Amino acid sequence: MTQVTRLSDDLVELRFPNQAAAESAAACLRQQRGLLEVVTGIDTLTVQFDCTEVNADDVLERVAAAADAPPAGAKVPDVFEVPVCYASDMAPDLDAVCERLGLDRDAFIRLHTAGPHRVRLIGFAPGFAYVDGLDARLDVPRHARPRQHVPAGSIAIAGRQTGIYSMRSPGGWQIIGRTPIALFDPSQTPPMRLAAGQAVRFYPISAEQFESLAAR
Amino acid sequence: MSLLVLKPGMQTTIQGGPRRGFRHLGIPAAGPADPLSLALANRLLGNPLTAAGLEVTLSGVAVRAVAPTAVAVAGADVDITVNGEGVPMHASIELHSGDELELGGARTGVRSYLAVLGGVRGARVLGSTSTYLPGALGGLDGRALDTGDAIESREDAEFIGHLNTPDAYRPAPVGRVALRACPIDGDAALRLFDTTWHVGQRADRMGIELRGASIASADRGRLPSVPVFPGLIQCPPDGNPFLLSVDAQTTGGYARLAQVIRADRHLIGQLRPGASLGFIERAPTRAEDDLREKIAYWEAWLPGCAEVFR
Repeated sequence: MTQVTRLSDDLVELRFPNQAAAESAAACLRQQRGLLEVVTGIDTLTVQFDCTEVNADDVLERVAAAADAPPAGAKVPDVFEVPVCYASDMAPDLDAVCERLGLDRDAFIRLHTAGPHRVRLIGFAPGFAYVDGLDARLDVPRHARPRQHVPAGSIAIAGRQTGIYSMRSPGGWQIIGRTPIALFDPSQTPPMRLAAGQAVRFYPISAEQFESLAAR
Repeated sequence: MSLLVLKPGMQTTIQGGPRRGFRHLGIPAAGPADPLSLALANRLLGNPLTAAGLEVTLSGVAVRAVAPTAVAVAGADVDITVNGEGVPMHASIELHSGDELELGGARTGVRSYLAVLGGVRGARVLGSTSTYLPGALGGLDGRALDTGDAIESREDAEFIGHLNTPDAYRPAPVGRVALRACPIDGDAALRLFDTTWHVGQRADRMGIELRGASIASADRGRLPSVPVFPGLIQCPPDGNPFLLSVDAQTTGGYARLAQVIRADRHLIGQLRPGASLGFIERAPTRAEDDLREKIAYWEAWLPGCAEVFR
């Protein structure tokens, strides 16, 4: 069942049993007029509206109706390959993470590049991708105190997810590598090279390969 | 071109209307951290209330008029001079070619807004010219202004005559602020409403660290990420709440304490390290009334101001 909560005068949050249901309702709501933002979380959706232009009760009815909308047709995108350099200067948290997990560096890289991964959502910052499929043996918490600057391209982990910082931003995830490819470009339509649902594979590259890919 | 930057200040950016409808791609609204003050400056020149202007942060700036124009300043309390002669805030200022305008450092508050006749031009990216520094979007190459930059404005706009802001419409940023907020996590929010907070050293367009009490929450850094918006007070596991501002990230995984109501979010942009801060509990329906009251008050001087309080 979908649970609807009004967070403030301009925000309504819906909690869904799974992300597919949230994405489907979001697609329906983005086609409607009068809503400022429709944003999904891992299994939630938040709508921002202007109560001086639309009636709050109408919005609550509309989002409840959208929650019952039939799911959109599923797309099966190709696998997007993400090169990752796990060298120490690009992975400031990797040694501490390995120590915490009782793994050596090679074992960590094997586990991180092994499994199939899938983009859960884009959010937090332009081009920040939450990617599902992290091996259960690599589960670590976020930093208690976020960093003010995480370099663009940083690959990080927290909980059961990998995060891709496609631009420099603050962030609290454990940084375990960096990719040389640019995933966000506002001059492109769409500006994002990854989308929710996209399958992703990480593969290891050396510092030299990083430099040559970054120069392209 | 209408203005040449002589002294850029520590962080001066072009800010106008918000960038709407892209939060689901991770792109925040940006725009002025204190949109009411930008609207007040624009009003003195007859500009649309959300026309782009310059957001000046804490330190002073200097510009030279390259062509005749007019400007106005509102927001943080600053000294203003034209060719060394003092001129007031909250009043339109005509500039002749060659005139040098200087804004001093902020005495109270954080951000002053310099509106330019016709509005400042900037790169329009995803529907807005507002600068989003972390993403290098909008404004002037997505960055803060530098010495030698040319500020372009619409040249067909005409000076509407000298105007002053009426006294009743001059909000003076003060060292003690109360923000109304709707609780999200009821138990943790109790502590939020009971505490007198101070703005920490970490205070920028992304958000503001609050000091005063440590709030324990069930979060151990493992909550699933949810959409977040400016005005959210979230609490990382270190217990120090963090109040999100205009450039805040679009999703977050820390515990959520409360959401500052729309009517009071413009105040966040003037919170200065050391300022004293309290929160007042509001239900969402009451927050709607608060917003309507605020709009009704400002509407008399700023017609159409509902869009300012977004």
